[in-house]
Amino acid sequence: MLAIMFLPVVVYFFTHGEITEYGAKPLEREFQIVMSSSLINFWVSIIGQLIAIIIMSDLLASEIDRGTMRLLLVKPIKKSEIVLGKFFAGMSSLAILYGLPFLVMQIYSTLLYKAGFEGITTTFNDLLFALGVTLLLLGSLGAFSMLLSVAIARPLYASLASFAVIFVVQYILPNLPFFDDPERFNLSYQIGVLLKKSFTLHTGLDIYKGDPNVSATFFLSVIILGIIFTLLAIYRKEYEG
Amino acid sequence: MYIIETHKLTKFFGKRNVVYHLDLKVPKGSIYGFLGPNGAGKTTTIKMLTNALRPTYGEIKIFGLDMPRDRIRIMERVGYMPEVPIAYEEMNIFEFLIYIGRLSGLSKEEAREKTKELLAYVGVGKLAFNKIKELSSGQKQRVSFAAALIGEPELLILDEPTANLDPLGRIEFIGKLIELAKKEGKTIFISSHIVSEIERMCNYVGIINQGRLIAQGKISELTRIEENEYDILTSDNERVIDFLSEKSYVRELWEEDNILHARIEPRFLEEFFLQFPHYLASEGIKLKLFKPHTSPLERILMEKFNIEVGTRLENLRFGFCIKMKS
Repeated sequence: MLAIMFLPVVVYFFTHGEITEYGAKPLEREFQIVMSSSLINFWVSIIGQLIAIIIMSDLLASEIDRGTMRLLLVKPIKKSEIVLGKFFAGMSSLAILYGLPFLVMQIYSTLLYKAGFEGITTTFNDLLFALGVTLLLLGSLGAFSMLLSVAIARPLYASLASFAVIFVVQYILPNLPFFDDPERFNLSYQIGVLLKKSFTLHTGLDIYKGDPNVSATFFLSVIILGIIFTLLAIYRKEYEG
Repeated sequence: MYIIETHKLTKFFGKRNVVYHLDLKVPKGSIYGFLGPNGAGKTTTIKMLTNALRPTYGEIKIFGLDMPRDRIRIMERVGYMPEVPIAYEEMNIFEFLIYIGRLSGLSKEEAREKTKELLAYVGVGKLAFNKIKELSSGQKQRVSFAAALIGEPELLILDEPTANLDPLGRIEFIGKLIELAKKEGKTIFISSHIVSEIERMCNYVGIINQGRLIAQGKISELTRIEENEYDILTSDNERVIDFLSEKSYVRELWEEDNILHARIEPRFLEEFFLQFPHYLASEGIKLKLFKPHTSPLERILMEKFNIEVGTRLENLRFGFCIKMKS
């Protein structure tokens, strides 16, 4: 999975344009453009979403499927600790999976622009912001996948079901005549909206209409609701196997 | 004081009634055998006791605390061993036990120390760094037993714990359980369908059939003394046969695999017990074996399950060998 995540870095390595101006300022602009384009077209596109779903679906479903959930239930730990522990463990994996290629991309572009340590510090906030919004979006997918995985309790089927639902919500439903601007339901589009908040040097992001604060609140709500419903499902679930 | 107490514990799966109005009473410090044929509701009951299943209705009190409301406080004091060993197959035994120890509330150091101690205690010390998926089912059972013991629980709930053990392993396991109850004062709730095992290690028994508790109490109090069928082995069986066949109070006498089986008229038991030892002593015949033909617990089962007299249950899983009178 990590190798897949590094694809945009490899592509950038071979395809970056000719550099006419060196230093920290041009680097920051270039970094924002490269990160936006990689996030929108790859990291948060269908492949990135699928990877996040696979990781997050497996967390609880595999415990239920193997029967090890019963081991956890007979220990003095709260069910909420199990759910939150799993969620944050999954999010940590995603942070590493996405954070490492982001970091390599930052270091490589800094070297290209000969910006030195100043280049690293200048682009550091952008790197953190990009990672933050990525985790916000993938966290909402993850929370939803965890909820479905408790109901389905088979990691593979849970991943497929989550992916099917998320695919329908992003690509099929918005194309019904009741919805305006179907592309706004797409997570890749939403990452553009969110990045707009901090990536001010990349004017190309203006095509993404929408308020970043509203989008952030929506995804945060999905995460909170997903966790609450997962917890309720865990409380209600019986472990017969 | 009862460590486990249930009141009208009932479980339905859809319309199927699996456990019905179960009133278990497990005294402190007892080894309580939960005995019943396959499908009687033993595992379902244990799953309700350990919060894996929710009762349809009824109450569960463990240490006087309400399950599931006080689950955390209860589970701090409970060790559980499932019927089929459950473990993280990719971990090695050492890692697994430390992980379970940490989940049980031990510090990292305590978990390491306890793991080392338990690895030796359950006899898998040499396999400590083997992955769990590489172990035999008997070895997994031992690991599962260690996992149940790691939090130093006051109550052990064991579901068919000897199912995958070899005969020697079973003997060793039973010895360990008796030791845990006697020396450490642990209360042990053990489900099984092996009569001889329950009889050997338990002092209390609850018999369940079709989800209903049909008998419960101290084994010694449940068993009746008026046994009238005996197995006898002497140094000279032929002379003993001659002697007994002349006695009018011997209703039946037969020999099977060198063991004499005698059925005595109950009214003349006292006479038999006076005359028989006297005869053996006077004739210089050595008595090598004298025991009731059926074990006390078997007799309870035969009575409760209305099983044909003479059906041998000992050492057999009675789920497979009971012959019900139609």
